[in-house]
Amino acid sequence: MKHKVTQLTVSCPCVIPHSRTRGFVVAASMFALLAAMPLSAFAAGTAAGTAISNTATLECDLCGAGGQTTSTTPFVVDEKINLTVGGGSNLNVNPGATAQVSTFTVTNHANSTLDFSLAIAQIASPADQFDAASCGVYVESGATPGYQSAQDIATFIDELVADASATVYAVCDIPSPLLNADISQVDLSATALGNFTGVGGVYAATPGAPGAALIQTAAANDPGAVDIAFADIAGTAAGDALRDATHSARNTFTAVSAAAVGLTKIITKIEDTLGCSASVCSILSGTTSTYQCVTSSGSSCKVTTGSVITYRVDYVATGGGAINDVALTDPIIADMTYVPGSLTVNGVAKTDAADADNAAFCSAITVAAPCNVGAPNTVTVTPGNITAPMSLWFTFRATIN
Amino acid sequence: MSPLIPHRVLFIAALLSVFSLNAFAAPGEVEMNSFAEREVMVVKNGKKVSELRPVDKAVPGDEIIYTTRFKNLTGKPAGRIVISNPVPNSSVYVANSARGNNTAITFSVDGGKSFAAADKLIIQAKEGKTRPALPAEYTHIRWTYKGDLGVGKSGEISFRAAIK
Repeated sequence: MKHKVTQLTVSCPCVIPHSRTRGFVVAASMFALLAAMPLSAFAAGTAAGTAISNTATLECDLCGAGGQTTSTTPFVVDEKINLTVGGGSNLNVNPGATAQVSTFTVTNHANSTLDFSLAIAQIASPADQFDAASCGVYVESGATPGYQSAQDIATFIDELVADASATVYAVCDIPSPLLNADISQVDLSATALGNFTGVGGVYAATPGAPGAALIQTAAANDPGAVDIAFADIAGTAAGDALRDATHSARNTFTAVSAAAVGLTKIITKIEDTLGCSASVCSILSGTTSTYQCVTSSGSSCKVTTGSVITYRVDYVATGGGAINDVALTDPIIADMTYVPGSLTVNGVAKTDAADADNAAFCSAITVAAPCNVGAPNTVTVTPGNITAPMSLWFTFRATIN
Repeated sequence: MSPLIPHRVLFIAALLSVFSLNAFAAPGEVEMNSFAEREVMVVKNGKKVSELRPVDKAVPGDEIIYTTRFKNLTGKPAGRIVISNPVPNSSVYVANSARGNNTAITFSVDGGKSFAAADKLIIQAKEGKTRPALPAEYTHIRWTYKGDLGVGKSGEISFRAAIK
């Protein structure tokens, strides 16, 4: 948006009288736009104990040179207790894992430094399937980012200044066995503590020790003294209400069980030396070793010396979690010969060489991956480190000797 | 310098004290009283109604209503009455909250040096550009009474400011 104030003769911040500017219609409309914006949030705000008074001055034809003034009785800004606990995150864990770290953030929104006590609670079943065990709550010391069991040992937040945040770790053990995707939910509650002393109610720091529990000042109070008013919202934990100097948030541990893997191998095509090609294959006798493949006209091709068989191998990893160094090997039996260049993975052609395409026909065991595993004359496919669930399939052809 | 006040006459010797109920104005003055109040919800006859109460609990974000009442005890009509009021410390003026019957209300964004109506206040921004002033940038409020305040007559002005 442009506006056209062309004469600027007053230093800033400044008022430009109407008669000396042009383009006020535009300026006024912009003002209306800006005036509609809400007042900015005051963050932690004016410190508790600050005295505020108002003075009005009246001048008139009959009044004195300095005019007449009148002031309101100063009132002091009270202690506004407000905090939030940030959570809502998920951590994937393996059954039986120990010292699993779930991270929360506690922020002091009060207008004073405060201490905070911390508590972790399991939520009741059946909202979750298991309870994380032996949970400890520790405050990040700041020495080394991330949870360090030797450094992050404080169990309450000490002297957190207004507007500042502290990182809090819930460190729990995971039971075993668990089903894949079972969850455990934990609530971290933080409660503001502090010592306010004297008539003015000044916050008294207690480094190394938690402050006293806070009590909200009753309705009848002294405008000249610092009162305590709770202004926090309700949290996730049971019993965490509005305006109780406590806030809470919930994190989740999700179990990823050890993955289960499966392999199947089928014949998908038979081609004989007379030009017959049968690609409709089915298990003939209920076992996986006897196949019948027929042509589109329903006749069978002869499986004799020189016939070429196409094999398909399916690999499926179910469950969840990581599986490392996966290598699939399929040795060509002695009566057959691998057809060079016939290897595909997920329908994509792969070279026979032991190279970076993670698939090879290994005529001999070599030092180069993937031919460093298995036996000679083996089709080798090496997806490597995978995360279940996943699946892949590969095909190759072999000739009957 | 304000062109609205061509001459001034010393009328009272002592600055009035900080108390709100400085009602003991000497005869012949324009008497003034100021109040700081909060709007609270109270239950009356089973209904929730808002009521102004003296400030007791006040925390950041609260709106305080400041009211000044004035009464002409001079025995003559009082002319050219101008009341000015800085926005209190640690507070920010609440948009469109200034009130005053029979007064013209202007604001300052430069510490009371100059005043203009709300829609004519401009702040000089970067690179020679200007922008309208935000209510939160007001430093002073001024009420100019229209005409004379009759003998024994009184008036009232008010505004709201939120505690930062």
